[in-house]
Amino acid sequence: MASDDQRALLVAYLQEGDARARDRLVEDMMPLVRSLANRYAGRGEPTEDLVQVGAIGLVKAIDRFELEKGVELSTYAVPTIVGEIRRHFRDRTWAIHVPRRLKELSMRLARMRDELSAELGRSPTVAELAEAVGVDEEEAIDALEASKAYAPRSLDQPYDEDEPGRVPGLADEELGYESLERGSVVRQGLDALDERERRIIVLRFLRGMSQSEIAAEVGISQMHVSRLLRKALEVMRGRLEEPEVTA
Amino acid sequence: MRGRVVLEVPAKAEYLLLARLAATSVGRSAGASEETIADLKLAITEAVANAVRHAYPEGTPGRITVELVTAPERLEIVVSDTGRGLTEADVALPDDDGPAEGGMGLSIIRAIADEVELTPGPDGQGTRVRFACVL
Amino acid sequence: MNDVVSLTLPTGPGWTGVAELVLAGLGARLDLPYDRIDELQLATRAALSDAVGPDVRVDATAGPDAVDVRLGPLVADAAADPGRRRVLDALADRVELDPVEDGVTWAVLTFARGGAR
Repeated sequence: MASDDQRALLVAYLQEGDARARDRLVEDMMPLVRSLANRYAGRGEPTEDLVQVGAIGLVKAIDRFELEKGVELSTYAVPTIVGEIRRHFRDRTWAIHVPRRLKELSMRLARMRDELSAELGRSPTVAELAEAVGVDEEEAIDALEASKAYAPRSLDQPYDEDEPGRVPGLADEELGYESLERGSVVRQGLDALDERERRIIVLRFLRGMSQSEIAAEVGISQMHVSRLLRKALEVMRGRLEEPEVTA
Repeated sequence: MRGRVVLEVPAKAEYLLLARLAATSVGRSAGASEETIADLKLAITEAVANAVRHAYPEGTPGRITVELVTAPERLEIVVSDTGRGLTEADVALPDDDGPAEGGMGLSIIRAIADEVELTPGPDGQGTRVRFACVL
Repeated sequence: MNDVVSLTLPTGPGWTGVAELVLAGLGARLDLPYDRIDELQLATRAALSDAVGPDVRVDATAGPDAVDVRLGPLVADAAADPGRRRVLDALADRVELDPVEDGVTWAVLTFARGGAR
């Protein structure tokens, strides 16, 4: 819409109370609202809801617009539209839902990682995982990272359940644990691990098994192997990392 | 936790993801709420996308620098490039065809962050967008 | 011309997560299989624990066949312990340490791309 026409409509609405003029303005500026709503899309709120909320912001901006100020309506409206969308998230999603959503997504991704590995005969890419689960890559990366936090008991996920004491299979000597130099940091570090963690370290670094092979051998998910490996390496360095703050 | 993280990437759209991830990670380390992190990501997206679009002529290599500085109660971000500097597109107001991408990007950053400052880069080369979010 | 992604961050365990998340993003863009990304992160975290000085730099170069991650400055005897070196050697496809200069060294970890596409 040409600037003059837009101005005429604003005058008609703001000075003469012509409601149809406002409708016309809103209609004309919906692409802006959609464009802004799309920037917040994919966060767990349907885009159409965001568009509607953004439209409310647009209407507010039009109502508050001051003709004398000489600024373009679209520039003026952006903060109000964005503000409404953000408030929508604040009221509905962020404080409560993000941690839960991330955790649920982590579980789905962990399961999908094992499924796709079996199906493809190799570890899936992030793109493949994201598509399989139906989220964008960034969200997948975030959730995959969250899986690696040293989950305290309360966050144990059913899929990853396995009894702490259960360590089937070969004795440490057979796995080559004894072959490590006694004075080495790694040997000292291994001594600090529990049986299962030690077994996983030995399988990975002495036997050279891949994480997926270890997962199959020990009977847990690859995500769990990843998490245990990470934790074990940190313990071995004599430093237990704080769990990542993911929520 | 005080600290300064600097990420430098080629000025290509596919690296926007890395800037967003850096903001997520630094934001979480700084104890920002999820809402603030979402805002940070949006603001960084606008600033970096703008640099990708405008800083360097089509086909020429160029880099974008994203600095994230955490201080108590505050997270400051600076997105800079050494390209052709502020152009009309960066500060353009919307026109008949709708909002100019650059202008809208800046409007969004201003709507979200505090202390938004747009200046030429060092030695007058390129552009520097600085903004901060209160934690 | 290979793309280079550089990251400078404070040394210390609290900051390695930033490098890991950014590298995950790079790995995703390069279509690395996820277990490769995971081991790239583990190796980087392990190497970063040898960082010396207030800041450490991580330069990731994406070549057609491999990703090289160069990081430093690290303590002169980084990965000198054979067990520790074994961990890095197992995680990365190749590990190279620069000659020690001014009491510090830099490491280059190479991760082959192969696989996915």
